[in-house]
Amino acid sequence: MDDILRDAFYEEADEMFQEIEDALLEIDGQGATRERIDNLFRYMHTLKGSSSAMEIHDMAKLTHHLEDILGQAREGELTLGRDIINLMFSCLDQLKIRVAKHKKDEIYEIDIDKYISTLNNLLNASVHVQDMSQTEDEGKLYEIKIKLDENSIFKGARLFIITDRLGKEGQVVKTSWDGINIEAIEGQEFDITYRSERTGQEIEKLIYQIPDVDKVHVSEISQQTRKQKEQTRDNKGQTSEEVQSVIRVSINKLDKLLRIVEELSVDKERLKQLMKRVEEKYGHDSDVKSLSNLVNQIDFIGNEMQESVMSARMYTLDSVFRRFPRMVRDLALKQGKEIELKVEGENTELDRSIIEKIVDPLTHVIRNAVDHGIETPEQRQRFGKTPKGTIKLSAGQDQGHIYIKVEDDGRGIDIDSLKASAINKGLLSEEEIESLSEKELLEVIFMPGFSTSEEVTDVSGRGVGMNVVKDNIEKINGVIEMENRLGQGLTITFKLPLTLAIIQSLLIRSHKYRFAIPLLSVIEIIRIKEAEYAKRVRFANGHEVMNWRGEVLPVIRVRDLFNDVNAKKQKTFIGIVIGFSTSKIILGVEEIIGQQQVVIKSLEKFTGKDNVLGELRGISGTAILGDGNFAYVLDIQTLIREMIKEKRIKREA
Amino acid sequence: MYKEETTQFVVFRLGLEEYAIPILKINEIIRLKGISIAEVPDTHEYVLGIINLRGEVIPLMDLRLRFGMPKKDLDSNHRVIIVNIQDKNIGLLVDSVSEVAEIHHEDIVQPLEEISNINTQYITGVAKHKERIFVILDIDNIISPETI
Repeated sequence: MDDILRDAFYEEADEMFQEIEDALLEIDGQGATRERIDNLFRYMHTLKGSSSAMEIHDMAKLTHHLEDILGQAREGELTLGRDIINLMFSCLDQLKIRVAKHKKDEIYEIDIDKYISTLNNLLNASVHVQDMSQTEDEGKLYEIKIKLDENSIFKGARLFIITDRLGKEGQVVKTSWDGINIEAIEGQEFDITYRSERTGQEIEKLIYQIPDVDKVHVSEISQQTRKQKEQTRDNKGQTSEEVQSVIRVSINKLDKLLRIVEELSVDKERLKQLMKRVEEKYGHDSDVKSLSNLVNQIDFIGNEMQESVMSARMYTLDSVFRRFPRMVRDLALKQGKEIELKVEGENTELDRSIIEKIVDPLTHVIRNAVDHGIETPEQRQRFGKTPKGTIKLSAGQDQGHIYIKVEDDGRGIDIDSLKASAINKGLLSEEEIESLSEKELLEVIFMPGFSTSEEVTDVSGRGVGMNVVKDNIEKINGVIEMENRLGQGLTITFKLPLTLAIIQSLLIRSHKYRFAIPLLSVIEIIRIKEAEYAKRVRFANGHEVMNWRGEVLPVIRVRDLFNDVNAKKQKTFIGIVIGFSTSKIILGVEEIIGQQQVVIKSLEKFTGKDNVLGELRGISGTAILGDGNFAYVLDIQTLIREMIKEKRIKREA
Repeated sequence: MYKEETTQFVVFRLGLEEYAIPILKINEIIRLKGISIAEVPDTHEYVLGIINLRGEVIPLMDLRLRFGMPKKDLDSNHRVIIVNIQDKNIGLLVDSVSEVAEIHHEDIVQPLEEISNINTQYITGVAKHKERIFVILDIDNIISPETI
C-alpha cells in the first residue's frame, strides 16, 4: 500500500474521529437538531468511504451501519436517545483502536456482530417508545423513585445491582445517573424509568431485597406523561463522557523511569533506617523531629511515585482475554463439544511485561480445559451433567497479588489413569508412585514429557504441556495452584506478582546468607523450641518431617541446601510453611529478619553451567535491600522439585 | 614517516608479574572502600561474591585465585577493574594498577610455553614495553572454568 495514501487516511480518520466526538457530545448535551445529525451523517459517510478504500472491512461495515442509523434519525424515524449515543461513543472508541492498530500493522478486528446486535436491540427499543400501540404488549411504564441509605458506601454498586435485577424482569429505559461514572455517583435519591409486565408492588418488593435501599416508590406513567417524558431531555448527568487526553510514550522511557524510581526506593529505605538511628541518638532535638517528618513525607511521596510509574505500565487483561472466546468456540466446534466460556475480571490491570509472559501459559491451560477437561455432550449427559460445559476465566486482585483462574466443569484429573500414564511414560516407577501422596502425584503433570489425553490432538497434548506453563509462571515469580475435583472439573490458578521488579518478601537469615522468600508463597510461620523438637519433629527415611494441620510435610533446612552440609541441625528453628501448586514444604531457617518490599535484580546474565556464578541452583535472583546489601530470592519451586527428585533417588538407591 | 599501529592497555600487577588488558574492554576502575561484598552460595572459590555498584549487580572475581595464585589480603593498593565481557560487567580484583601503556603492535609476540605461571589459554600475547614485559590477557576466556 502506498505510504502517502496511508498517512492521508490516518490523518483524515483522526480528524473525523474528533469531529464525530464533538458532534456526539453536542447532541448529547444540547439535543439532536437536524443540522447536528446531518453533520454526523456526513462524517460517518466519509469514514465509510475511506475505510473501504483502505480495505479495512470491519471498519467499513460498522461505519456503514452507524450511517444507516443516522439516516433514520435524520428522517425522524427514531430519536437519538442517550443509550444510542453511548453506544456510538463506544463504536467510536473501537474505530479509533482499529485505526491505531492498523497504523502499527497490528492485527485487530472490531467485534462487529456485538456492536451491530446491540445497536439493533436499542433501535427496536427506541422505535417502540415512539410507537405507543406496540408498547402495550411489553408491559407498563413505571417511574421508580429510590432512596438509598445515606450511610451506604456502595451507592454506585447498589444502583448497578438494582438495574441489573430490574433488567431481568423488564427493561430499564432510563436512569437519573445515566452517563455518570459509577464511582462518582452522589446523593441519596435516584429515579428510574422502567418498563415491565410486573405490577408496581412486585417491583417494589424486588428492589427492597437489595441492601441499603431505604425507600422505594413505584408509580405507573400514563401515556400522556410518557410522551412528555420522551420529549423533555434529562439535563442531569451532563458530566457524562469524561474526555481523557492520551499521549503515547515509548515503553523504554517508562522502563527507564521505573529503574530510576527503583533506585530511589532503595535509597529511601536507607534514608529511613539512617533516620531511625539519628532519632535514637538525638531524639529530643526539634530539628531532628522536623527532619523525621520530612523523611516520612519523602517516603510517602516516593511510594506514590512508584505506584504511579507502575500504573503507567499497567495494561488491562482485556487484551489477552479477548482472544479466548473465539479460540474456545473454534476448538469446541472441531471436537464436537459444547462449551460456554465465561469471562470475568478482564479489567484487572497487570504490568505490561507480565501480561506478555502469561499469554502462552494461559492459552495452554485453556486449551487443555477444552481438549482434556470438558467432555463431549453425550459423555456429559451420561454423567448427569448438562450437555454444555462451562469454562470460567476470571481474574482479580487479592492481597497484593493478581490471580488468574481457569475453572472448568469437566472430568477433572483421574488419579488412577494419571498413575498408569506416569508408569507407561517411564516418568515414575510403581514403587515411587506408592510413596507419593495424591497431591504429589498431581505434580506429575508438570513433569516434562507428560500428557494425559489418550490420543494427541492437533493443539494440545504434544508433551511439551504443563512443564512449560510452569516454567513460564515461575520465571515471573508466580505460583500455580491446582484444585482437582474428579468428575467435577479442574481449577488452575496463576498467582502473579503485581510487577516483575518489586515484590513483597519475607527476609530470612540462614548461615551467612540472607534470603528473600516471595510472600505469595508463605502460608504460616511456626517457631520450634528445643524442648518441643522431639514432640513435633519426626523422621521419615532419615528426613525431618512435621505434622501441619493433618498433613505430613518435609522440613528442608535452608542451611543444608546451600553448601553447609555438615551443619548440625539446630533443635530450635523457625519453620516457614511454603505452598505452591499442590505441594507444601516447611523451610527451616535460623532467623526471620522481617517483611520487606524488595527490588529484584536478575542474575540470569551471570548464571549457567560455564558462567561466572555457575548454575546457582535454588536461587532465582537477588534483591537489593534497604541498606544496599543483598538477599537472594529463593526459588521455592525448584527446591520442591529437587526434593521430589531426591525422594525418588533415595527410593532407587 | 611510517604508519604505526598502537593499542592502549591498562597494566596491573598480580604478585611479581605485570598483566595488561585492552583499555576498550574496561568500564572503570574502583576501590572496594565502602563497598560490601555479598558472598554467593555454591560458587567457585575465586568468585568473591557480588557487589552493588550504583544499583547494578556486579560479580567480583579474585584474579589471583582465578589463576591459582595464593590469596592476598586487601591493602590500600588493591583495585577492582570492571571489565565488559560478553555483554556483562564483571569486577576483577587485582593487587594494583600501574599505568595505561600505549603498546606498538609489533612489540606483541605470541606467548612461549611457560612464559607466565598462568595457563596459556588466558593469554593472547606478550608485550615488551620499555624494558618491561606485560602478559596480555584474553579476558573473554576467564569467566568459564578451566577447559583442559
